[in-house]
Amino acid sequence: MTFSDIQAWAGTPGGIAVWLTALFGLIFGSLLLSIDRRIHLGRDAALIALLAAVASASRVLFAAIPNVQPVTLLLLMIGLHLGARRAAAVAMLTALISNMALGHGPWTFYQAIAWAAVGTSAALLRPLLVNWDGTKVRIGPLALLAFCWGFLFDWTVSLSALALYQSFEAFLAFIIAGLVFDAMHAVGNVLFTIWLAPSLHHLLWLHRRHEAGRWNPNLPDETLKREAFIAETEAAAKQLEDPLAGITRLDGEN
Amino acid sequence: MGPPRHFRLPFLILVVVLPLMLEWRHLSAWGGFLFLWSAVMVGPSSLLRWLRVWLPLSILYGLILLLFSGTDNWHQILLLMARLLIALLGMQILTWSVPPSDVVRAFEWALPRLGVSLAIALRLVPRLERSAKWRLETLEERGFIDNESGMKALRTRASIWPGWLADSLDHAHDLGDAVQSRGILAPRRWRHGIKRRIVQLALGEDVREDGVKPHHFSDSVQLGLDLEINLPDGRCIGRHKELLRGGNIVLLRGHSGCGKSSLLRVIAGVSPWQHPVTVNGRVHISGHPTLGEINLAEGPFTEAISCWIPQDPDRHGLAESVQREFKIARRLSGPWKQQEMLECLRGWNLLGKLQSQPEHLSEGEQQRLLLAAHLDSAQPIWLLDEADVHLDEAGFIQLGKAVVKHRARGGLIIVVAHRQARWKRIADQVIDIGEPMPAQDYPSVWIEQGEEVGIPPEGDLFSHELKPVCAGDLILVQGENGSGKTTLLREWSQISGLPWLPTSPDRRLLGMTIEEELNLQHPTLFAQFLAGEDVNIPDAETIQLQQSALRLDLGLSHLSMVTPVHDLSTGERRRLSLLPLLMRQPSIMLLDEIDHGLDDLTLADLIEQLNTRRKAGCAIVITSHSPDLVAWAKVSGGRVWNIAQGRLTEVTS
Repeated sequence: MTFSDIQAWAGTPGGIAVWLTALFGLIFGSLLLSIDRRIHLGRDAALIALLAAVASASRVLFAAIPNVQPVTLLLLMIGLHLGARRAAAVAMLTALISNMALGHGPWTFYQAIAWAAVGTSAALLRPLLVNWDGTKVRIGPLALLAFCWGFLFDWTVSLSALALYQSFEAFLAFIIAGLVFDAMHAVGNVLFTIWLAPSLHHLLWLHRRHEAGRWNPNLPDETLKREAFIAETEAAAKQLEDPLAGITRLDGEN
Repeated sequence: MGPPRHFRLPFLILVVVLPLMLEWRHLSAWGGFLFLWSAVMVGPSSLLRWLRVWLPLSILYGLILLLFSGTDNWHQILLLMARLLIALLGMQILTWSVPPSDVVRAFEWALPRLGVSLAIALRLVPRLERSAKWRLETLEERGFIDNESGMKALRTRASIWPGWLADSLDHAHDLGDAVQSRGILAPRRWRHGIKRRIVQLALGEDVREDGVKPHHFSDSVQLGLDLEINLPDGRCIGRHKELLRGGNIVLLRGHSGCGKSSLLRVIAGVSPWQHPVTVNGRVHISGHPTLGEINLAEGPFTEAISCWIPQDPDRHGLAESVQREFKIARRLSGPWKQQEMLECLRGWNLLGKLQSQPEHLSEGEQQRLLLAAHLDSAQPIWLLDEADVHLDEAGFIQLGKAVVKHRARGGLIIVVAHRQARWKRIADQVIDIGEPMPAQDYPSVWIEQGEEVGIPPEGDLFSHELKPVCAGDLILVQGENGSGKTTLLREWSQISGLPWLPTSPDRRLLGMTIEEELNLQHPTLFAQFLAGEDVNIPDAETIQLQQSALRLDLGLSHLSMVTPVHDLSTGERRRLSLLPLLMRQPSIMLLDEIDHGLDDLTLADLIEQLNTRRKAGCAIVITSHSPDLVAWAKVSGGRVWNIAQGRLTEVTS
């Protein structure tokens, strides 16, 4: 097998599927390894778990409505507040857990990849999606991004079918046939953004506020002053226990 | 019946790649083999259910291809669909045969900390469902939904999701703290090197983590505290300057919300900010078997610093089964041996629950499980945060034995308890946080019985020949852990439509902030909230006034409206969850372990409120293990019921 053979194979649908999977796997794997090393607090591990559990439960809850589910919005909010790495971790766990109920397939990996990309995009576009001090989320730009991801997400997941269809025409037909479902996903994302985004933003902001607590190795100055004052007063009170201490009597009875 | 454990990954690759390479004859042979395998493994009905979903979908994909790809080679498309279906079946065989705990284990091997996340997520999913169910139950109990049209009911249901998510977030924080305090994120200490382990694994020998043997701690076990805990507004909730030594049981006392639990959290090495607090100062521990000297300000530590048993056992259990809870416990002593675990379970009267799921155990049993699995004798410092509230007498004796034994070993035990009578007998030192609380007598009142208002249900679960409950009655229900006290209240509530308050107040709190919670406590108040200030809904003002008066009586009027509900102390949350019950003025109030998380003063205030309700003709039914409350019930002329082996009897003194 020569280099040109490999080059030709890499241009076929099967070849593209293989190298694309390998490339995505490398990027995704490095993100996951990175977040795994950065988890030092049990709360970090638990927060990722909670968000994955909520996303999975909501995906299963809305499974009856084709392609309408709030996971994409959740991942956008997670990327916005917690960054791309944590979003990648949540994306992977969500795909894994929700597909335990809905069925695993080659799409599991691509769903995880696509949701990780959703989170990463929100992390990168953060300045556009929240106001200047980060206290409020901008619904308009977020809804627009969520709408775009309705299509992009489905097309990314469709890549899992590339190897199966084995021709670009068939794959394109598959994409075109699914446009109605993609549109449903996009519109669903917009509705979920309007309904859920403000509360989700408030909640994740609450979580970050909890993280704002800290440990200062030094006691506050006020405490030190108060305790010094109390110590001095106590010492002074001890000295005053015998009011005649230190007084020389003149009558010679000492 | 699935592929062997070590061949799962090769099997996955095989089932995905092989169908793509095979032509009709070999493909049908491979497909037939997989169908036969799965039919034997899960039975034909499960296989048919699977086919019912995937066969139509495959046909749909085939039709799409045939119609839109411009090809008329339907043979090729049929082959593609067969390949898809057979590859999916291969993957489904893996899904059917691999239990979630094996997925977690495989995950932990590659990504250990995300593996912990996966384990927690799998535990959280059913809990999220239950939590949503409790909230819907609470809505119905408060009179929502029943009287509302479909759209309005949907809107009301949708309004509780922020509170549901906030509660879940709080639960996740609790689980995270449990993970942290138990050292589950720490790298494992294996007894042998990798080569030796591979040989042991190949020979099927028991490969165990290394542990520290329990021993008599030297005099070096000391805990030096010089710290102050401050709320974000600068208010100090505890200034501690103590030197505590091993070989002592220290009882921490103080009123609700004074920072006892926060202090234990700090010493446990978990995030001190359960609520957004700042810790100033130092905590120094010496005599730790593996870490030696520890300055906690240098944390967080992935190793377990001490043995911490927090409040609310249902929020801190990590595993999906009793057996697995033992497997992940005791990281310092090393994993439990099977025989040792069985003996421990027998000691705590949990042997019959070995195969149970923790969420199916009663609160008392869950508390016993936490204590049984996680009291680590190799840890020099034990921190028990109201660890005895759900325990019956036998459970408390077992805990007392363990504590006294640890003291004899030279360990330091710090206990937080509101019902202190039992602890005072064995405590060596008592520390008061804030002003010492005066001894409190619970207000008792003798009320003449009124007319008959109800009787507990009798059915498969309970049998009884009790006299009916009358207006003004006070009834205290006793029984061992797991005897069915909570079940009695729940069943009674469901059958008779009475409101009941479970032990965990979070099951009856709906809002994310105090304002949301207060609005969701009554349908009229919620309607007024939705209508806005410009519209006046009849009765809303009267109900609001009644609510404000009760808030004042229960000591909740000082709380800011924007405070998140989960930033409140357990006692404050309990009182907040009691508010809608008092507003409804039911004929019988069913209260499960009402004293949990309340100091004597607050409990006395609450009892005063209950006495007032009794005077107004309401009967009160309370479950409790507290000897103090039993004594109070008897002094107040109350009746005492006992549950044993499904039989409910009246105790006559």
